[in-house]
Amino acid sequence: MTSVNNPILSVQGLTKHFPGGRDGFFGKRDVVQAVDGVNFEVAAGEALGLVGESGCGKSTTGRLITRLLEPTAGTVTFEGQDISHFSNSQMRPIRTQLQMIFQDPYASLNPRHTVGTIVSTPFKINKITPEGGVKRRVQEILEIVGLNPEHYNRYPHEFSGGQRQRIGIARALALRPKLIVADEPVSALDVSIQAQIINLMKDLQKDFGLTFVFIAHDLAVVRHFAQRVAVMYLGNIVEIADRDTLYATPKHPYTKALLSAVPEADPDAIGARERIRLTGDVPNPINPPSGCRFRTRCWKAAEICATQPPALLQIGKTQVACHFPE
Amino acid sequence: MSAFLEVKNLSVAFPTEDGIVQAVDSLSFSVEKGKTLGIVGESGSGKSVTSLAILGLQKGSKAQVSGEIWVDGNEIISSSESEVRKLRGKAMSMIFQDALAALHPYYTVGHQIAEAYLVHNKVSKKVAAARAVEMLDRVGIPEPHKRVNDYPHQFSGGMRQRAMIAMALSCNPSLLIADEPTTALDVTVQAQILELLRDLQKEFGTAIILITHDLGVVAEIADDILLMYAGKQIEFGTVRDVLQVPQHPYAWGLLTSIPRLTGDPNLALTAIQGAPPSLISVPSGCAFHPRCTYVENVGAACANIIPELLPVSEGKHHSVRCHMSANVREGIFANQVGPQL
Amino acid sequence: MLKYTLRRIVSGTLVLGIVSAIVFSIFYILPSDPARLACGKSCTPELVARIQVALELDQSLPVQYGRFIKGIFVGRTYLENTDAARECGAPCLGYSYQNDLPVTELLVDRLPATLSIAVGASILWLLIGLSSGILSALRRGTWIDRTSQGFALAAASLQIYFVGLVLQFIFVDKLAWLPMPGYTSPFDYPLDWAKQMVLPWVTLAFLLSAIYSRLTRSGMIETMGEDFVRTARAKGLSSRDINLKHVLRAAMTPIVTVFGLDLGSLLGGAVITEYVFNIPGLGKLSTEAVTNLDLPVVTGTVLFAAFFIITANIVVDLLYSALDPKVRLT
Repeated sequence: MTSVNNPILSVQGLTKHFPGGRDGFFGKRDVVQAVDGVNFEVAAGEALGLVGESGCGKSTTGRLITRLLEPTAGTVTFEGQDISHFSNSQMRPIRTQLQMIFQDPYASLNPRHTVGTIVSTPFKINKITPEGGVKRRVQEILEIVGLNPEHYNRYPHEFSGGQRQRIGIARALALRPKLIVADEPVSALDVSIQAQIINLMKDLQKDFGLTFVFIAHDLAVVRHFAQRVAVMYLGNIVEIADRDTLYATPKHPYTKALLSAVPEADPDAIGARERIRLTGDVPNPINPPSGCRFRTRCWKAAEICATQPPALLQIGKTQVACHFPE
Repeated sequence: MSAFLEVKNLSVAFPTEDGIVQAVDSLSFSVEKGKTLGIVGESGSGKSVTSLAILGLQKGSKAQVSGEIWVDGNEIISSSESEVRKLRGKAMSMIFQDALAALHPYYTVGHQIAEAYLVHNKVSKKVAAARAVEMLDRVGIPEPHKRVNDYPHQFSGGMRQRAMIAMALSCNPSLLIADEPTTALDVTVQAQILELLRDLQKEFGTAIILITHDLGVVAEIADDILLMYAGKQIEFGTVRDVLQVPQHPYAWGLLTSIPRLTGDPNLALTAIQGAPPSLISVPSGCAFHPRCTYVENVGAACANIIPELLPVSEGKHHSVRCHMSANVREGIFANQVGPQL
Repeated sequence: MLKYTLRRIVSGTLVLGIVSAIVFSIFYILPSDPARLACGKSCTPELVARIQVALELDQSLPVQYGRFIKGIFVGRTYLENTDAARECGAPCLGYSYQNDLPVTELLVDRLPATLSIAVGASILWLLIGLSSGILSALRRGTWIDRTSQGFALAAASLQIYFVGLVLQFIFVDKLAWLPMPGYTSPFDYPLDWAKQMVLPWVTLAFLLSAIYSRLTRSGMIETMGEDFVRTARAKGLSSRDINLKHVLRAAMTPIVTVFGLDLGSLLGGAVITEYVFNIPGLGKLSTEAVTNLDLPVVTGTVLFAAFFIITANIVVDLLYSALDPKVRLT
């Protein structure tokens, strides 16, 4: 199933189960199956989009890749090394190459640290002194992300949401990583700022040859950033394809429904599109449906869907996990 | 059809330590029964403050509210709190973005819906409880007689929002204000809720004000769009007018910068430079001028004089607040903006 | 719920067991002779010798502890088959040689006074604290708010014994409006009982109503800013309904739990109040026992107090889950 040669990141059978509440005195402990057997690869220099709605496991996957969480099962291989169960100290040199950008620009920056401190911390932790000194380098990075280097001594609360997100990006870029996992980097920003940050990230990708795993729930945003897209539902990947193929000819019913639900800013486009309305809500990840997890909301569901979980198979240019792909 | 809601020159200001924040400035619009108005704006645009003013929810606070708000023949701003209270929930209702925070965590959903009904209807608790079940059923919640005894945290996000809609509509209000009702929901759930609102409007003829920052959502269910920026109305028109032939540079910026499912994804998005202004120091003249790339077409007026809200052309329903002449705007739109949409 | 309660009772009993083991062991770890300690201040060598036999000090520590625990369930006879035999009925928490009484009897004898103080004061401080807190929250920023909170701060900064002595000086000595505080059974002389309790109640309530006033005020103010209050207003509810049914209902939950814990610890003895007013309650009993080094009584009062606190904790947790449906007891 290797669709990528020499992937910089490879994830096989990645699984993460969280313990939930206990049922009664001696009852079984609930298990939240947040991520269940996820496989994908990312080539160097590409941007892989990871999309899905709440509870699909995309954020958890992002944290597993960067080892903020440890997998319950499966492997995460970065640059040929299996980092699945590396300790914190083993991860430290890896982290110079593997960074993360977070969603909430208000919560992810320490309000007691100046911008300068925030962006220079990666250097201090890894005891790296770049040429010309840390401060000089930090100011360079601030400029690269579109911030004023004179603001080195300002605090996060003095900046707007978009600027704070730039600070977060600067911090992630500090040690010139190879791979950045961006977890909903623009969801918390105003609409008129989102484009700025998307453009910035695209430029950085080009200029520094970065690889991205771009996690988002907004399909339109992902379309403007990713080259390949993976769709997740309730802990599984249901479809992976290159961007154009996925958006033009989605093969999984969930992908189709997801695309049809995205509202378009053009009243005439509404009549033109096929509307698929999913009924009900996303099932509980503690008790996911047997077989194919999407079957409870799928209009194509048949008996086999309840008994046999579909495997992620290659059909044309797409990998899809469905017994009745489009 | 006469307007059920008419807002005339609404202004809302908040005195703060750092100065007066003019959250809403001379806003005027109207909404008819059975129609949906989308109020669109980003953070700081004043859209939420407007909705709270319509319900008179700023009475008793430090807010300075002026102008006229007419709801079904009652003027809100000059009325007392007790007079407006009679209208809240009955003539006009509101639903909010975060349904989990907006519902009381300690009372069942059924209790809260029944409570809304009992405020305006002198009936027994049993009748009100039955009404709660009926409303839950109307908004599409399965097994309503069971779910009526559940607490808000036991509902999923989409169901919770439906429950809030049920509560808001329990007394058959003629106006429903929905403040970012789907922003916190998944896109598939959002589609369900928007469809529900559309259906309910058809069934009850409710006037709806939908407040949002999402142009796609507005395109889905609004008839008219009111675009707000820094507390002022800067463009108004039908949904087709504003989204297909927008007139204000801010609207152009928004429409060309939002990622879409159509068009060439490899083209860079045309971002609007800068950020929405802080309401304590709103730029002089046209509030948008620091971010506007077309200032040179006008000159000094942009920075010094606040433009008037004028119809795009004689007698038209579509109006815009911009110094550029109609010809210049048309030209720019035809050459630069239109092709990108 | 039932399973949770059972589990908590089991673990609570375990904690009590651990507490009893610790207290028991201290008796023997102290450098002095346990028998001498049990004997207390006014002691004779003959008495010491008798106690040594009674406590079976020749046995190992676990055995002695075992006897102690057994005594709690089935009672115990000290110095059996001698002329100095002492019966100690179940639950036997030890024997006070200084008072020549089983500890349990002493505790039971002193309990009503403490109960009277604790329950009476708690009702008083709840009433005052809650109403002033609610009023302050509703009239936030006005002179009502500022005065009541100022009062609360002043009251909270005064020590109980100071308040108690001053009040006693004014109302008993100077004005003679009230009799000397003490304890009479309410079943015998209810009016006297009430009159004698007024000062202890007011003294205790003085401090605690200040605390509860602040708690209520800040809880109410915080809750008033919640989204669901805005929804209640948007529904057209009256201010009264909003404040009582929505705001207070939500703000009360943490206060109720704090109250439970406060009451629980008070039941172990309102030490300072009882001491100041010389009321024969558990608090006075325990302070006297410490002063007189009557260790069996110390053990008893410690265990008694621990029992109340543990019970209060369990009740409070159960109450919290009853009040807040989001709290699922696991």
